[in-house]
Amino acid sequence: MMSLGKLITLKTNDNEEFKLDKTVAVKLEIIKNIVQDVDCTSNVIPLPNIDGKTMTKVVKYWKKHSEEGVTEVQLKNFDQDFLKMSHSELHDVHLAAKYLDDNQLKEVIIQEFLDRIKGKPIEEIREVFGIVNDYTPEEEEEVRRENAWAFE
Amino acid sequence: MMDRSPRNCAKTDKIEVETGTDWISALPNSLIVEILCKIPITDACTTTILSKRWQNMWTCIHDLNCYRSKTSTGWSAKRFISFIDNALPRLTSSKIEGFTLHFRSNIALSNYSSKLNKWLQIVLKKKVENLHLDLRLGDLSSLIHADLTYHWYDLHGLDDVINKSIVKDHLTSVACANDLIISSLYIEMISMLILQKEDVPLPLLECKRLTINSWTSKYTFFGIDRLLSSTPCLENLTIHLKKDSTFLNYWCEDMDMLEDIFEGSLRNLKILKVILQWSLFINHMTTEQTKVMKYLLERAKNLEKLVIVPTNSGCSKMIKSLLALPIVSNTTLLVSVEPLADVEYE
Repeated sequence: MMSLGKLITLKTNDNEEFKLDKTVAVKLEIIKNIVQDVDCTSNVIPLPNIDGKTMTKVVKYWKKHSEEGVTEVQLKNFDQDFLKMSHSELHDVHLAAKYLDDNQLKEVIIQEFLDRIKGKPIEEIREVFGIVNDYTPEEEEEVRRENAWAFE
Repeated sequence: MMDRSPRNCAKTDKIEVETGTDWISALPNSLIVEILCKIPITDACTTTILSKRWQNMWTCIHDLNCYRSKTSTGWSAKRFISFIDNALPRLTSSKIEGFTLHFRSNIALSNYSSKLNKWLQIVLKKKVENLHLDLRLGDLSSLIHADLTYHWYDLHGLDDVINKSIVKDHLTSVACANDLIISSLYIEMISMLILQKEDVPLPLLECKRLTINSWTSKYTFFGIDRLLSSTPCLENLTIHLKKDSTFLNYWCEDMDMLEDIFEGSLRNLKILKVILQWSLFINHMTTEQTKVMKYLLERAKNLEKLVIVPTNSGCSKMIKSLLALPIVSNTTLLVSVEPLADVEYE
């Protein structure tokens, strides 16, 4: 096992390097585990499933959330700003959070997806999320009929 | 998610829309299910209409949020019940992590209790881990007989069946019942409320017949005592002597046995029925059981009849210990040997 130095370097699949302070990195179980599993002598941890663009976002989130003296309100505002990204970017960050086993970030992303869908009429969900309705009118009618109890 | 409501264009503009790509198809099913788990089931279910891929997606949810959502607030109670009743049997997930049912309507529980029972069966079969039921019992001022027993609780040892606000609600609802059956779950909850120094919505001033079907342990002492102190008109008490085999008993093993814990006056108590629960490993009265019985027999100064009902012939040791306790002299003692033939000892 390598010793945790002051800085830890995370290397993405497109060779971008992120130097993280120990205090930030240690917050994550996964980093600790990787450090223990990968018997590496250098302080560089490879992240084969994450690209630099996504990792920039993740690191930004980690840094803000491990800042000392940051208030709830500041974090809320930060999150709001942070989540202003496209659906696919959001998806990438979710995958990264999943890979890194960061439950907090995962939850935040799912919640954002949720807020984008919540309370929207079906037609609008299709439109906003680009879901192609591949039911024929007859099929759609049948699904509605089968689930009449749900649609009334 | 109603089908034809006015579009909220201003809102959608804010989101960066990636046109031309069915981006959500790129999301793995697991993530979509994860999202559907977070929304009310009434909303999750309507996504079936989105496209073929979505048709059965909602049936995979493992977290059930059953309450009237923003889009279903206008639903009648009847419609909501019918919805849940239709939706739950369609779920395909083998494991349900959470079942949250918030339904505070004017419809009393008794009107849909068989349905509720069915719903609970479904989620229990799927090994539900977190259960949150928030139901209104309704106006029960005409109530005479109330049975607060969760049979399946005893079977499944579920600790998180109902929360304390519901217990409080239920106790308030049965305040005017004169015949009450109260199970371990409630006794434990009352004990917990007392230990946490919270209000317990007692007394039960109308209660004349009471059945306590509970474990007897240091922990449940608090609840049993509070219950008996809160029923000054009690005339007829049935108590099941069950050994506490739950974790609570281990948890409070080191708890000091409070000598003067019992304070209730039982001056109106005329008939006391003790049902002895025999089990393979415990064929004698535990310290806790002895203490409860000693207290009951000491306080019930006007007791007319003591009935001992062993559930099994192996209870003889328990009967002996019971008979060794001091009993008011003019009490008739009945030990029922067979369920049908009562043998009388004077």
